Amino acid sequence: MKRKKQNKAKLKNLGFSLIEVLLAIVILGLVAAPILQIFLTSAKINNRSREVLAATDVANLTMEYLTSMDFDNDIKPLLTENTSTERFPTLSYTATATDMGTSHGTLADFEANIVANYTADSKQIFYNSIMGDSCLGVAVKDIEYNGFTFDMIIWFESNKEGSDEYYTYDVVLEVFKAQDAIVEDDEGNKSEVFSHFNEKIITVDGAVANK
Amino acid sequence: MKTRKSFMKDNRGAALVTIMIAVAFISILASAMLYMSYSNYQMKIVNYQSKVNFYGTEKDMTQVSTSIRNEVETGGDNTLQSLKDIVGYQETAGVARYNPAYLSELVYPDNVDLTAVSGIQNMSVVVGDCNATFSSNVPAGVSNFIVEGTENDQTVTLKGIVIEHVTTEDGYVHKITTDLVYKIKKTKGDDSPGGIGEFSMLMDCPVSGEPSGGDATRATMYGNVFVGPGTYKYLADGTLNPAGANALVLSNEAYYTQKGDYMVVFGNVVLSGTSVLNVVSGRLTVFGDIIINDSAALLCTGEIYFPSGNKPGTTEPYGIKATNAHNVIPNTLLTDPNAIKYLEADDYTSMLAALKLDDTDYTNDGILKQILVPENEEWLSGLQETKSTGMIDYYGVNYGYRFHVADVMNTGDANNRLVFNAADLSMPDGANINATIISFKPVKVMNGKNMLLSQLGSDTFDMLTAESTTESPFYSDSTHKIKIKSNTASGLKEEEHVVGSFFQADANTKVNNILNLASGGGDGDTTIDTAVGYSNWTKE
Repeated sequence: MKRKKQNKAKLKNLGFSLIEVLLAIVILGLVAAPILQIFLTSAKINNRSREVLAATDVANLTMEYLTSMDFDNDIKPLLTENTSTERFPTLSYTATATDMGTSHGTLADFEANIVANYTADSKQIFYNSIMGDSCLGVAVKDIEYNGFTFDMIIWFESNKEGSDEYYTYDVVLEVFKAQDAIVEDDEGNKSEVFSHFNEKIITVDGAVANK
Repeated sequence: MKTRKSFMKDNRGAALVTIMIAVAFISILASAMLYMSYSNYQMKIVNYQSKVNFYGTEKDMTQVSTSIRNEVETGGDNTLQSLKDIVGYQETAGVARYNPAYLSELVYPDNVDLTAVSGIQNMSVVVGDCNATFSSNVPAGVSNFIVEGTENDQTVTLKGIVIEHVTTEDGYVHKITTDLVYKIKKTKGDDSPGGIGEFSMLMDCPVSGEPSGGDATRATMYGNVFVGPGTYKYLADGTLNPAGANALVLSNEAYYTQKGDYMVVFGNVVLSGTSVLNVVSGRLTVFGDIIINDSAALLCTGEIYFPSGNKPGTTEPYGIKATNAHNVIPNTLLTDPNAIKYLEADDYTSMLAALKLDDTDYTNDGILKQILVPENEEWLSGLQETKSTGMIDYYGVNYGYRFHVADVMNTGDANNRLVFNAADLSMPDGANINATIISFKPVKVMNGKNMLLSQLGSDTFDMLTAESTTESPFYSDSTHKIKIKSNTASGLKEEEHVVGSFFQADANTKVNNILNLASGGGDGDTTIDTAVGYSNWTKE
């Protein structure tokens, strides 16, 4: 008799009840959502880290290239059309303002195209802008590096005082997320231009001698 | 009462417990992952900020080096003083140092009061959110301002410049340490005395005029002249004593007229008897004294240069030593300090260096060793020892040179020729001789001779330094051999020699430079060229 009672008791506890499982699922759902959010945030942070690292590398490569040169002797002459396939940025300068489409914001008064290469097989088209006599801005577009695409502006500002023969140019590099702005003129013609309203990732400041 | 076993009789709430355990596990994983992601991101930001700080520090260094360079090249002829002024140079007990505060003033002028920083070795400035410290890592008591070379070709090294940037907001630190090396080259204006073709005489040996028996001898040099003492006289301590040997000696009725633009005498000029040295125009530079005895005379309507400073080992300056004032015309040359010009010490030093007279290696001294190809100068100077009397003919009648080994030269031997002379030589008489004489042995003008020595001019010697056998007549190869005829004990002997190129590629430039230095430089403006470099560059 006693044995029969024990077996009956065991039979009563086989498996989970439906209510238990449902409750467990609900609790799991409530708790897992923020935990999943943590995972997503981690992924975003990782991606951002990689992006910052890539942007830093791009800026570092460019800055090392520029600061090893003189402005008058080495950089200015590079402002001609370039068909190089070199990985490092080679600034080139050609064409006319009419090839550039419309301006946007502070990148007004486009003077010419800038052609540079960051990848072996592609040639990108870039823009430049002359901001007065002492400041030259060069935009470098669609730089592909380590799976990311960036836009970059390089500013050269002269520190010449009076009739100095030797002086420096401040070099400011701004790296942006690549983004194209589509502008439309009065006639409805659309064109793609570089926009300085892109999200900026990093800024690096250096200097080169004029000669 | 429930026993332990009664708890195990059912599993009510097991699902909940399992879920809680799983959630706890996943939460721990997620937290760890989030923390690692964030740490990774922080590292990338640190990397980026570090690079920004580094380029900011490098920018300061670029600014410093460029500012100094600008000051040196635009600060006037005294480039070294300009450099010293801009870096706050101080010298105490032989220790020369720059002041880092002056370097920081170049970059952050609003943050530095130079009147308050005399003697201070390190200077910290605060700019925005950045602390920049300029210092020198060369210990106190050791020079960190090093000057080498001569003023015309100088290297100035600022050793151990340290720029340290600390970004106060984020605490990143970058330090750059480097030496700044400035190479400063000064080039005097191009008065262009000319190359070898502008010379009448080019020799490391003396010229003399010692007639006797009442005969006058006259020599007129229309081109440039460089004469030396034969052997450059050095003192026992190795310093050069140009005044210790005679290079131009006139006696009796000898009368020498210098009409060329440049005459350089490396040694004493000795005039005795009734001899006359007439400097009609141009510049006479004497690396020694002009000694006038008896009734000899120095006439000068040109310029006379002596080296500045005292003769080596003495307290006596170079100058004109005349027994009588009337021996010097105008006699203001003896009394007026402005009438005589003096070479700047650096020109003199550069001149000695150009002639390789500035060290104790005596094997390459003199002007001839600077312009002739060494193998050929041995061949040329050895002519007298190997050949007896006679002359050297040359292959082809159109070549414009003559090798001379006899003791007497006839007019036809020398006219319209570049003459390489290897014997004690008495110059021919009479007609104008259009020639440049390069002599390894002393030359004298004999009794009753009237030598008018011009120079061939640059056109004829346009290819003096050419190396190609097809370009230069002054090149001997298997097709254009030197044919030597000499009288030996056994009769006339003919030999052929291949000499190759006679002159070094830059021979014309070298003689032009030597004449420029010997005459106080050219009339044109001084050009200053600088180059700046970094050495021992480190970053932390």
